[in-house]
Amino acid sequence: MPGAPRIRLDGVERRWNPRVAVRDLSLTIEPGERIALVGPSGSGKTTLLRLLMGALRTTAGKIHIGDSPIEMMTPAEIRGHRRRCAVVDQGITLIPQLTVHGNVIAGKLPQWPWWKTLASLLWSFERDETRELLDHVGLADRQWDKVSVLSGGQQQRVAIARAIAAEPTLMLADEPTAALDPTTSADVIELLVREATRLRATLIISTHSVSHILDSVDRVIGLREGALVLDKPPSEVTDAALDDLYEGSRERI
Amino acid sequence: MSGSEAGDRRRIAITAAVVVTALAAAWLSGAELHRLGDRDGWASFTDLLGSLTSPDLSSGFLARIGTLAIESVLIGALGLALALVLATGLAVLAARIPGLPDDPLTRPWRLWIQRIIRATARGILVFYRSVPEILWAYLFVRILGLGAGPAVLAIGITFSGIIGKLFAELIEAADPEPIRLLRASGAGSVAVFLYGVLPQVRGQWIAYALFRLECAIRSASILGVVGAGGLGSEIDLSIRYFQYDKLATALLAVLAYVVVLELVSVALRRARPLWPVSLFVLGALAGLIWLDIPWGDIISSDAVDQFTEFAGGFLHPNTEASFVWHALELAAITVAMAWCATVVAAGIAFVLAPMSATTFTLRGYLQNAPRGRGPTRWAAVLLIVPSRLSLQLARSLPELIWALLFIVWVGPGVTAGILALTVHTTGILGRLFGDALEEAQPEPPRMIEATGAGPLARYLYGVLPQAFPRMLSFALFRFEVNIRDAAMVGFVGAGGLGYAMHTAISLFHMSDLATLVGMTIAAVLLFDWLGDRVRLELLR
Repeated sequence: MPGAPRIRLDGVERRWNPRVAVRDLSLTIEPGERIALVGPSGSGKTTLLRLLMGALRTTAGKIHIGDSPIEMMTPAEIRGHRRRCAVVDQGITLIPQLTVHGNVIAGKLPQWPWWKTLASLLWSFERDETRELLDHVGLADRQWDKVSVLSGGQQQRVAIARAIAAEPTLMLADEPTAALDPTTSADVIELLVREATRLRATLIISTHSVSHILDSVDRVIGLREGALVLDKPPSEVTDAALDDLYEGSRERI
Repeated sequence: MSGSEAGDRRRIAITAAVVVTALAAAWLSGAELHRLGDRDGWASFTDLLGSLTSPDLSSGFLARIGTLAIESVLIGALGLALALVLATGLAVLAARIPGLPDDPLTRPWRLWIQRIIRATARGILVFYRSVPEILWAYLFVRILGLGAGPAVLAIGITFSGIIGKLFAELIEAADPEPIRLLRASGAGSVAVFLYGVLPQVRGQWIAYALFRLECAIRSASILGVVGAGGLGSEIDLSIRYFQYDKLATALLAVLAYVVVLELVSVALRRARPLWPVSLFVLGALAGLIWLDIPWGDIISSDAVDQFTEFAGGFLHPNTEASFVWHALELAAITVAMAWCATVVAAGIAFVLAPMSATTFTLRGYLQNAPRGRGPTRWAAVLLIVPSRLSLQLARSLPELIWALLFIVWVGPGVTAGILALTVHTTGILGRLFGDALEEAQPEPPRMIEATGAGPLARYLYGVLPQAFPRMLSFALFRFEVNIRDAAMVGFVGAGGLGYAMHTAISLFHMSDLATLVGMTIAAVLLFDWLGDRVRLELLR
């Protein structure tokens, strides 16, 4: 199992003419770093995460995952890269018709041969492994419930269990707490950080609610209108700097 | 965890039960699939296929085919007109008009008469729609002789059963308030119906009648195989006289007829209802003038006598134990044919549907997937186009025609019936499954894709769970339809109840016929009821 790769962004730009979502972004992300990605709505956070997982192409610049630039990867290599990425989305993106078990297993499908995927329609494989994963997120007793009967926080935990099922080296969480109440949000963030630490994975959480995440991360990156405006350890991030990050956009509106 | 294993076991047990019962059904009904490998049968079938490449295109024959096609359209329109007259009358008698509670001043015996009339009208509606139209067509051919008349009457009767049921339901769902107001102001029954009920249901009645027009015109193209006019009669004749070049032309004509009909009705559905309504009225009038229906014969004493004999059969059906047992056996065979055909067809359609559904293969997967390249896209086109075309062909040719073709291959009997139902059902379910798949929400498959999983996982975990309950309910519904259709293919010699009914009509054994028809209706109603129960369970 290779460790987390170093990620290097070099003058990355993504534009949808005439809009520019991400502009001239250069950063290096060390293996195992835990990063909070902050910035107002429309500042390019989601675009950056999608660029990192290879779901979007850059329109200029390069993203290196380890040694290989993502722009040069073949579709098979992109799929390989995605297998090592875990994604937790802002909405809750589970398959409501399946059980908790089925949804967690969905995270392992990339590693399964086709016949196992096919046979899993009839027989639930890897029950114990799934239960162990659910144990990590505190849902072991709900393994065979339909996800549609779970609460929002519980559903987000299932999504996290699915994300860590493939033992990722890069975890990308796109506003994972947007649909949750404050207490549940804190739990979910804590869970993400704990699991990333356990797996020694690089973790990037994009969020609006900065304050309760600062204690848990190593680094804060702020975007505004697609440009890098903040890159500091959390101890050096002042309230004034955050106000400035969000204030600037409000003036523009 | 035991709960989960019980769930898995249940799923495997149900799947195994479906497969085993389908195999058992094939065995019990006496299907001889090895006949597919029969050398003589295969030779005459390939003969037939070969002649499809050299159809009879002489101008005389083409003109005849064209005339027959027009005749079929007119039969459909006139048949539906007859059906609407019957359906309206029966629906008014069968429905309880909402908002009018039993008047306490009405004498009890009048209330009883009203109840008896309602029950009778409902019974007639059930009877009309449970008996396959081909039985009516053949019965009228035997009474009135060959020609378009029997087809018009058959369509009129069967469709009045189907349409009347819905018309009655629409009346009962009407808003009771305006009806109560009219009655309170002292209006009589006729006025209540014309001013209270009709304005509320008129729009839906017209829409439904137009929807059924397409079905009636399609049905009219095949009733000829028992001698009742239209395109079907040419197919029957050319098979009987081994004129495969003429058969080829007729088959292609049916195919074109069905496809054109589909295109026209799609176009007309977008137009204002005035257009299809006036076309329908024109068609029915033209049918009345040109179809040369022997109205005199229909009310002649001979025909009335024979029809009375048919109806009389139901007063003294053949209840001899051995015959009832035989009829039960035939009913079991018919249900077994339908079950076997539905299971096999659903299995094939289950595999073909994702290949023919554009959203999740060509357009969806290959275009939106990152870096879908030329060769993969061409592979998908090569997969999609043939599977779509073969599904289209399978559903465009009616099951009766498939039955005639398979009889050439495997000989008359249950085997040909099962094969015909299987092929036609595969075409229909392939389309319905594809529709169910295309209506699935795109987020789950996108999410599975984001994990880096391949197209199979994307389909099985992202798309299928969303569509599966609907697919299952389509397949079940089709099984119910197939029971009726299994009785129908028997009329051209493909086994089961239909074949026995055909014989009974040919020999004018009306009490035998009554028993067989009763058995058909019982089977249809029993499985309709069972199907409703299972569907409710599925949707829970």
